[in-house]
Amino acid sequence: MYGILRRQYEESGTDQQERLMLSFDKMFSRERDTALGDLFSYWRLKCAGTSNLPNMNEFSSRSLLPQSARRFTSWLETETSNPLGFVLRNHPKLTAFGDHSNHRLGELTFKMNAKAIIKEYLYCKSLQRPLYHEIEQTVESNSRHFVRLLLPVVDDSGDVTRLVYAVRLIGAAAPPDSPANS
Amino acid sequence: MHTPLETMTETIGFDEQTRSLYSFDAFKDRENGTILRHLYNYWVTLPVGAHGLPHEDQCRPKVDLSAKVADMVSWIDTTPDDPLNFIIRDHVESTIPGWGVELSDKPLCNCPEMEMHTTACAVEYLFCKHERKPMYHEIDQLIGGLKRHYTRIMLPVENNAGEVDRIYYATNQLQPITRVAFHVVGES
Repeated sequence: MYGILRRQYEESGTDQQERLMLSFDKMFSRERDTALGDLFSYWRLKCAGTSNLPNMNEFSSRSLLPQSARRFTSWLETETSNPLGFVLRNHPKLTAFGDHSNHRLGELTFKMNAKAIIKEYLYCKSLQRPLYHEIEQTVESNSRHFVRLLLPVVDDSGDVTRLVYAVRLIGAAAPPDSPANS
Repeated sequence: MHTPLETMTETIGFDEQTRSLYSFDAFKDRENGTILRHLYNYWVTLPVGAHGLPHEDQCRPKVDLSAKVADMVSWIDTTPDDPLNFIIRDHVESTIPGWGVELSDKPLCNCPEMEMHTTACAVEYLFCKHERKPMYHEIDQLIGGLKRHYTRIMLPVENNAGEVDRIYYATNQLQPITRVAFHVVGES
């Protein structure tokens, strides 16, 4: 597959995961007609054609978001500098993920996953640009394969205090209530 | 032969690394007689502070240990909340320019050319700080044309408030550091 910028593979006992950071060429071609594509278009619009990131006020209410993306948009509060203190909000309510809403990353029990997502969130926050990943993992005998779009937004002082994200399940396991597969 | 508790392999272009976390049974078998074992033996015999770890005032490997061991001990200042801002202290000498004592007193994020390595280190130090226990890794990497293969022990200590704001570490080179050149087939 073209467009792989970074690949990470991990194993811990019977748990395993592969995480691919993909180019935005790949994102545009795959997500053109999906909720992730619509969310990215909204985010890009709110950059107002500059290199400035959108203000978090543009993402403060689901009613502001594209219709297709409202149910599938989550976010991470990143006001603290310690990534273990980042708080998950509106975590995807899909069976494959469990419900971690309002939990800190430091509370996640699956350490292998927590370490990987902390790296990705730190990278997104420090680079201040969107990231697109494909993730395939088997965690405690549950398998899931999905793509995730990660979008940084800032507060009034320009600090990245929120990472907005949406996921789309891939493959036969995608339930009817997930964003439509391409 | 010990199986790692966790293994992570990462690739960016020509750069790659594998980082494996091993148990302490593995550490004791593999590092018998090495500097890492000497440092661990020193740390584990220190008086335990009020919150379960040796106190940073009691842990002075650079003073208390022989020069042979002390010269190979560095530490990470984990006071900052952002692990990318953790600061390297007393980095050991290296034959590779830019990879030795000049890394001392700089935050991990100060080395963008080694981002794959420093970000992984930042997360490992963060979890050592958070879980408040020693950790033992084997790291095999080819980054920027430099091949390194080594083991590392991380040993946290606590301050008066019980917070881990210092992690001592030492490394054991399993193979000499070497430079690797790439040639693309078909190029003249």
